[in-house]
Amino acid sequence: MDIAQYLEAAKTEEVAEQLRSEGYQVILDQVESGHDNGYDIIATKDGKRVAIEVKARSHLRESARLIRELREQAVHQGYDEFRLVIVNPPRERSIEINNFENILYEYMIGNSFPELEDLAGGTAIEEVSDVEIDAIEISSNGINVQGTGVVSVSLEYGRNETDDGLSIDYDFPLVFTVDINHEIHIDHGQINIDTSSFFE
Amino acid sequence: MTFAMIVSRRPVSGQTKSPKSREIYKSELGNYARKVFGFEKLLSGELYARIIWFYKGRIEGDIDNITKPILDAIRGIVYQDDNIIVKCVSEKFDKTRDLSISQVNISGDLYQDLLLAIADDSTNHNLYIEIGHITTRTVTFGPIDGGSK
Repeated sequence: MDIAQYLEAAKTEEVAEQLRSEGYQVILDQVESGHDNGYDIIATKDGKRVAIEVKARSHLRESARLIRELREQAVHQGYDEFRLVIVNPPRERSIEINNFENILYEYMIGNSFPELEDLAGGTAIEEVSDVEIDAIEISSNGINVQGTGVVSVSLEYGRNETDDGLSIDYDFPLVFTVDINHEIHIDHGQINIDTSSFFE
Repeated sequence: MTFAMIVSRRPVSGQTKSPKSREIYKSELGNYARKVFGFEKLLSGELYARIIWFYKGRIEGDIDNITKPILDAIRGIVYQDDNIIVKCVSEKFDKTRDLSISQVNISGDLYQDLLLAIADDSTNHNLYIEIGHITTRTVTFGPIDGGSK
């Protein structure tokens, strides 16, 4: 299934669900006997019959003739309405803050995290990676950045003066909401590290 | 008789500070309307105007500023005088967002051209312009798309 077919399938389900919530009886992929072309959705309510075709915009050009024929077929078959739903892929958004992974790392090594300290006698944050920024809020109070990432930590057991002990590396997902200043340094924030995988 | 045409062109605002661009725009629309409408008798009686702006990407321009230049451009070609247009619906739709097209009482050729215009990624703007007769003297209120009251 290519992207367009996936979009069409997903949108068909969404439209069908919306119609059901409006009180319509819904049939999917119905081909009426004696006709070659079927509709993606047939919806019926209080005697009103609606024929619906869902098409990705990327497929619209090659399908324009067929959709026209479907519309004419629907009129001929006595449908009250023929509806074309055109679906597009979601817009890609790109939010980046330069060097933010390192900025987050510097903040974390300067703070303590009980959820890590509970795991071992000694912990060392090695790296912060895979940061995705979900939202940036700018207000008179400052700039708040929210997102997710991964923290790589080294958990140390049994280290003492005569023994290096054992060191195990772990990656844990984290969620952050931090306030940054105009120099893109973190003033303060809340970072939650999910260490549940350690106990599985 | 209903007049309808699709033009792949960015609409010009009635508030443009360039009279020249406005005149070029009106001339282009007028010429295209002549090709579509030919020498049909001018529409008379109470008329409606439907203007739909399909666009792609970021745009500047308010929907209320694009209507008058369009109607001015086709006046004298499709209809005689502005005062017989008693209803006007202007809309704009981003082609790259999901869209439903319903209750299309236009010819199959025009419907197919409309779909091709929406599918066309080589143009960022398509204008659908329709002028027709008012058939019922009905005033409706509330959500224009029949949405939640």
